[in-house]
Amino acid sequence: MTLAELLLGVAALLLHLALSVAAAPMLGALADWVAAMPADRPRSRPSRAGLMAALRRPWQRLAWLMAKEPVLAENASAVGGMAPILAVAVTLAAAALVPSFLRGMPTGGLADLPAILALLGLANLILLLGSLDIGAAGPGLAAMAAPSAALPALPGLVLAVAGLWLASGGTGLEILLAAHDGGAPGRSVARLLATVALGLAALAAGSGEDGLSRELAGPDLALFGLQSDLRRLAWIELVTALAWPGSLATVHPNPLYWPLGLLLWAVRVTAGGVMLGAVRGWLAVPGARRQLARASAAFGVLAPLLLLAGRAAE
Amino acid sequence: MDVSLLVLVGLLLVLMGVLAAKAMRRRAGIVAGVGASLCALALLAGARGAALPVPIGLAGGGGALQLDGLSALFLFLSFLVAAFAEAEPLCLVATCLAMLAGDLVLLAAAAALALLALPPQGLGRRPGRLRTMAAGGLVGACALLGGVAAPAGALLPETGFSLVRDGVATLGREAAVLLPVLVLLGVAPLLGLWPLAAWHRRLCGTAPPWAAALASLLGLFLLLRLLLGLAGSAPAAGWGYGLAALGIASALAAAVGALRAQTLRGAVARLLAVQNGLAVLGVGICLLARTDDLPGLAAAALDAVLLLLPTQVLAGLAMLTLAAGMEEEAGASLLARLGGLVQSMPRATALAAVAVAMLAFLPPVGGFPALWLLLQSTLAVARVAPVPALLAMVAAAVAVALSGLAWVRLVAVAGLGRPRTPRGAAAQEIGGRLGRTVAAMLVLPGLIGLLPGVWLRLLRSVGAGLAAGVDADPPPLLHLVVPGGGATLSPLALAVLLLVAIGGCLLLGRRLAVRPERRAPAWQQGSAPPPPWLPFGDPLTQIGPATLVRMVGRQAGPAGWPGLSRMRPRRLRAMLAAPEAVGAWLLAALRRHGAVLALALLAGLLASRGA
Repeated sequence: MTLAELLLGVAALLLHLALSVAAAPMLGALADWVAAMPADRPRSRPSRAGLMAALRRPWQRLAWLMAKEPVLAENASAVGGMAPILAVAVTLAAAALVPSFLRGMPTGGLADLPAILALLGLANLILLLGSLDIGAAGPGLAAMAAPSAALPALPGLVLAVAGLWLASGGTGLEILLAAHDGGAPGRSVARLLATVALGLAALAAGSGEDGLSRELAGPDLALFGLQSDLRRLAWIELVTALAWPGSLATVHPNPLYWPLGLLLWAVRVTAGGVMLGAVRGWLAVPGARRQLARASAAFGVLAPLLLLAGRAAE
Repeated sequence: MDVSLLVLVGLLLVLMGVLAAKAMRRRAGIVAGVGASLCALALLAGARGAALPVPIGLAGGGGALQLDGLSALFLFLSFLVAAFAEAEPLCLVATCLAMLAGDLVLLAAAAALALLALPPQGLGRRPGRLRTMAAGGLVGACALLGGVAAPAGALLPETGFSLVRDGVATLGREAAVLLPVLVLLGVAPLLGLWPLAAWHRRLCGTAPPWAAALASLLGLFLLLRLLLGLAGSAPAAGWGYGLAALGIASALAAAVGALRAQTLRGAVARLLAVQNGLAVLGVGICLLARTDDLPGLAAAALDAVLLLLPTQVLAGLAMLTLAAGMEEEAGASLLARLGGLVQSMPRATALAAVAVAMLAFLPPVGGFPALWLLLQSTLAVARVAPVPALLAMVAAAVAVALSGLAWVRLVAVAGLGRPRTPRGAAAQEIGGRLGRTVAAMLVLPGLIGLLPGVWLRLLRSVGAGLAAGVDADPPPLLHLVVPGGGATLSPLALAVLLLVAIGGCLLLGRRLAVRPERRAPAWQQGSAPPPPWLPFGDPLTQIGPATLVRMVGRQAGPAGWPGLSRMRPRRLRAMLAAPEAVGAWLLAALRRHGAVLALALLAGLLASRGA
């Protein structure tokens, strides 16, 4: 790798990180806006000004919360104080591995699907420990609800990873994305099914984190919100990139394709945000997440079955 | 002269030194440290299987002590355990002799002696029977291997390893069924495998911390030596599936048990058994790959076991040591009476958090690279046997997730929150020397987690000896690569990325947080202030070990999956208890009719050989 290529790669990575941090709160706001649309405006069309205000609001809220006085419980230890910022850092590291609009970034060699999933899980575990820090029963139980409710989604997640591996021959993101460039149609369908299973498992596992923030205030709450938004963005980028790898530009050889990649990234993320907002109401229905988990497992089983059937037919 | 032979002689002197130190009532830790250094030297020199004849063994056998890669690795870890935790010399020497054995008679005798020397001596009925059964199973497995390897017409069996390996080229059907059963009867109690885990739980719960570490090392060594090293050249088709199923069942049962455990060391015992279950899964995949002639997959699965080993043993030893210290200081072993230790024992809690991070497979270092390689190996099995591999992956993932939640429960209930007893509130920090020792225990697993390639390159002689047909390319130093090249894991680079992210976030957070923090009373959901006779608060307003379990059970259990919701709890309990009952029946039968069974076994073997 020449020096120019290295510099280009570093610039791409920095741009990717800046975009992720900038877009994450707006993604959350977009999802909130879409989710609130039917209640706010039952008979009128959504206005552009309303959307712009909604997109600005999370940043204003972030600044307002950061300026507040941090309040900790009397018996809180360093675990509770450090948990939100550590969770943000771990999620940011995971987000750095997921390609947003470019393939071939310097972190591309580190991007492995199980490692990314483990990092996202680690961030949740840190938040969970932070919530259990003061030992109060109410917040503790509410916090434990998030990881325990995510357990039913685990089979779907694992089967999705297995399906992607069987269809592409690896779990490295670069390999998974490159596998879409060619291959038999059966493999492409299996990859798509596995990607759907991954997305459904992410929805089933990741929508119950409200209990983790029950005792947070001020800057800690701001960091929790940022972490939550970053995690959602990383998931959306991951799933949409796997579903539509052609939308990603490459770092080399021609940076002139970057704007096109940026445009398509915006389309992917917006579509993901709108979808997230659209299903949010449904996700609040009791039992909906369990149904999602089962659907994820079903899609996850379908992908290897399709590949096996194809192999038997050959 | 060969370096391995010199090291072998040196190790014998070290073992004598350990016994002499005991006789002179001196600390044997330094001597054990010398032993560990010698083993490290042997590993660096690529231990080539140097042998030293000894007048032990049957006529015609090659009775010998030998030092190959596998022995050197396990001896290295055993001496490290002894150096850190002052192991009982007799138990250490017997364990080391079993690892140095180059002859089945010596192996059986030393393993049986080590089992009998393991504390605690005053066992209850069931753990005591398990110990006897384990010794019987190991002796039986060695006898079976010797008998199978004996040349036709020979009066006495062959016992030297090199001759046994040649003799066991083709196992009969009966021997192929009996051998893994006997080996597993021998090692399952040592590793805490389901459903024979009672002795392992007792070892972790009441014996000194080194006992559980030595038991795990001995169990894994015997499993690798007998099934992979000696009989692994001709594994039967079902061995791999059977071992993998047993490993997963053990990991799942131990993870569920850890979530429900009432005592601190009881929970740690079950969580260490999860690790052992995953190691057995790795050995099963290795055997499966050998049966299907997939040397790359066999090497990857074995690498996963070799990566898991130091984390399980040394981080587990650190965790057990800290748990024992915490129980002693807080004056309670029940989780419901522990709490808030992060306030009174911050150093011990911080060290425990590091050990937990390694044992709970948290990325990017510690046990995570081993788990990642095990996952990749299981994925690779999906090409050969898709349905079992997918089921194994899901079950293993659930076991790992449950064990992660159990670790969180352990840390949250014992370390966080408020103290629950006066003695817990007055608990004192562990001593500086103990703290440094525990920190030293965690150094090697940490380094191996960061640079797994260096460890695997050091252990190439082990891989070459056990995973036949392994390719000649040395593993890369800085990252793990799966055989097909479909995935790469770079723990060091990931750790650097995480450190940069954490550093940047801390720096930015400090800049942006403009006001100093304020402490305020925590809201207790409207409960009245605790009365004077509840100085540590109302227990109903605090999290406890049972509340967290109930939450996980409610959310992820029957409600999460419809099939489970139709199952009555009583029926579920009966299903879970059935294997335990079978194990108890087997023990009782062995106790009552052991001689008859042994004779029947011998007659069956002779008949099969005659046929």
